[in-house]
Amino acid sequence: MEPADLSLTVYYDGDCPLCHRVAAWLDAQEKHVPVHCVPAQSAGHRGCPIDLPSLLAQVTVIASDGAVYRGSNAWIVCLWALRRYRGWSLRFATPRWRPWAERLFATIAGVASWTKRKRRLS
Amino acid sequence: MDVTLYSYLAYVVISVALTVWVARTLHKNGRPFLIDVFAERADLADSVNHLLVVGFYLVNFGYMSLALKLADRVTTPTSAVEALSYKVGLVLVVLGGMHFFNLFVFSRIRRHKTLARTPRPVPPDSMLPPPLPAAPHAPAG
Repeated sequence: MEPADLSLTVYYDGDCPLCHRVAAWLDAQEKHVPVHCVPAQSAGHRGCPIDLPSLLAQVTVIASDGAVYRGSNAWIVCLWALRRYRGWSLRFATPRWRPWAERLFATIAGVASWTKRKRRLS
Repeated sequence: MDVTLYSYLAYVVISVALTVWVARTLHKNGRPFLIDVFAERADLADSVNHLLVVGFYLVNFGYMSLALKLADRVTTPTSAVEALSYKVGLVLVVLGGMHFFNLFVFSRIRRHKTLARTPRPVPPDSMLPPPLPAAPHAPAG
């Protein structure tokens, strides 16, 4: 059983345009569990115990019960929180789908860092 | 009374009996399903069950009445049996379709409820030691 007051905090790269859009999309979804999106750059004043470089290296989700999820696990837990995508989250977590899910998340992360570089150059 | 009228009577009796039988089966066996879905709230489960059965009766009796008329006059007992079998067959197929539709509705409602209770599918990468940071309440932009 999950704790009744469970909530998730997602730390994303605040300098990355795509990450902002994904965060806005997450905010707009209907949820099973509350999800708060926080730019990693302001994680420090919110009492996040993980340092900024590791937050920027991978998407990180911290659940209110202290569980920390990073990278693909963070994505899967985010999808699990959403009403429309919980089925997908369970599928992505199975051994059969997991490699494909990881490839998908890696592609999105690649596009995200590309948008970030592009913004820095312009 | 001619043969046509007899076949109409037989059609109505058989179709009503079949519909009532299927509806009662649905009512009796759908209940445990719905009680599970509505988290042990038997009153709510009974109410939804009843509403589903009412819809089931309406669709089936409606179809039955619409399909009653025979296109050709039946004159011999043999043609009456043929016509009757055809009509009852259609009613059976519609009943079967409705029945599966109801099962689909039940399983869909149940799947939604089961999903809502499913725990996180992946283990945490690490656990924070207490005290835990408070979750932000204002959505961050």
